[in-house]
Amino acid sequence: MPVEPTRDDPILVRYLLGSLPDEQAERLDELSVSDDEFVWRLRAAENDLVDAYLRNELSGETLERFRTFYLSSAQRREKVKFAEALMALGAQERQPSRGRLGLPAAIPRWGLALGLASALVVIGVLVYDNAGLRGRLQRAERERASLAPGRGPAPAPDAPLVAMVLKPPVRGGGPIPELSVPTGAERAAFALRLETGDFPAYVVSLKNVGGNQSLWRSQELKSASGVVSVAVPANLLRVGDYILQLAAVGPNSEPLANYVFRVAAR
Amino acid sequence: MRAGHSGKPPDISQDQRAFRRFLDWLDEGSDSGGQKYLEMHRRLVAYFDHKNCRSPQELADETLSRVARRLDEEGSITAAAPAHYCYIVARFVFLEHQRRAAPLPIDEAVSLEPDPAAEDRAQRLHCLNQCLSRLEPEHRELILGYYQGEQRVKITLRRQLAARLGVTMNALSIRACRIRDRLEACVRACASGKAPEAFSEFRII
Repeated sequence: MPVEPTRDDPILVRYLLGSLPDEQAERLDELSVSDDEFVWRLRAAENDLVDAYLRNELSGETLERFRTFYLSSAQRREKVKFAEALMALGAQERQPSRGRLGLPAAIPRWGLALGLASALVVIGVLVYDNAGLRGRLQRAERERASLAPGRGPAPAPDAPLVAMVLKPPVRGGGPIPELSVPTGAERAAFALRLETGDFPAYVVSLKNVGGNQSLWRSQELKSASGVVSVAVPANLLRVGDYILQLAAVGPNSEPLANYVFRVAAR
Repeated sequence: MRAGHSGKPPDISQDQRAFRRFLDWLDEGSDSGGQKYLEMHRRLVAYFDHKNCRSPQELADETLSRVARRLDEEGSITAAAPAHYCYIVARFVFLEHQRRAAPLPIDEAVSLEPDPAAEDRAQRLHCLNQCLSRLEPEHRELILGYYQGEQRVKITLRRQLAARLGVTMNALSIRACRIRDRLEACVRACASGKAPEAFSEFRII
């Protein structure tokens, strides 16, 4: 078996892209169910293929087949979405230095990666705006959208992506999570972690800190896994402090929590 | 025990004894605690999905139900190893399905899926963090290390990682793949709104 068995295995890639002749594909079908070692090789090859797509490393017929065959399945698109998230996490890890990893420092940086990932959860801030990754993720979105005409406007080309997780507010405050909204961003996505039990539906309002006026209000939102996710039009976010006010849907509902965040200069 | 991604096995849950026998048969003498069943279900879902079938989960359920029924009727199946026998049955299920329904056209397949929103990404990242925190520290370290860097840098990092763990590159890639799979299943469950306690079921076999 080659040292890099997956990416370099054109047969597996062709199988994954549905472009092997029937007879050969059938043999691999059989192995994909009955042969333990082959199953793992195939899964590793699939992961590498998806990663390569997101890294813009596919071209020609391989890229075409990926778009037309691989992305045609909802289950396989889920794999791409997962890979996007995994890469976003990797991009975060590289953010502090804003550069590539130096090879000799690689092993110690695992600790940094873990520490950073944990710290991000602890302080409740999760931002990714790595330009290269953004481009790849958005390309995936655009390509998927282009395969399904009539489903609304596709995201603007190269519109930067901003996403942030905000933890429930605590007494006594703490550091205000900051994000930077890149030029051209269309929306900023927030995952609001819930403090208490679920309500059937929520609304989120965006306000300036100190201002009573609501700048924007979401539609009804559902929670999932203790989180309410909301996307705010990015053009509303200028430098300053903001509150995302969470309220349950219903008559006379009181605000449930205020999530404060700061928009920093670009 | 959790039966499969689609919930519970269709018929075999009606007869716990037959189902137990089916699990034992899949385990081939070991006791995987149902993990072999889940793994076979997953392989079958992937098989039907690769064939662009409309409902891979249901077809995987149907395949396993047929195998279990056959085992119950015959008392034993010796014609082929369990995994191979499951494939043989899956192929029949696929051919029958193919006669009934054409494979999902690509355009239709795509249009069934709503356009992913930015909210989904934030949610998925949240889930990924949550699932990462539930991994054993050495697995978390491995998966984060394995997917660092790009191209040459990535390969060099992987070589270093393999050397540090004392395994071949191939063994490392399989190990990373297993952890990634587990993480992916956890994120999928989390994103679909399962309680965090449910994530503990995702273990590596």
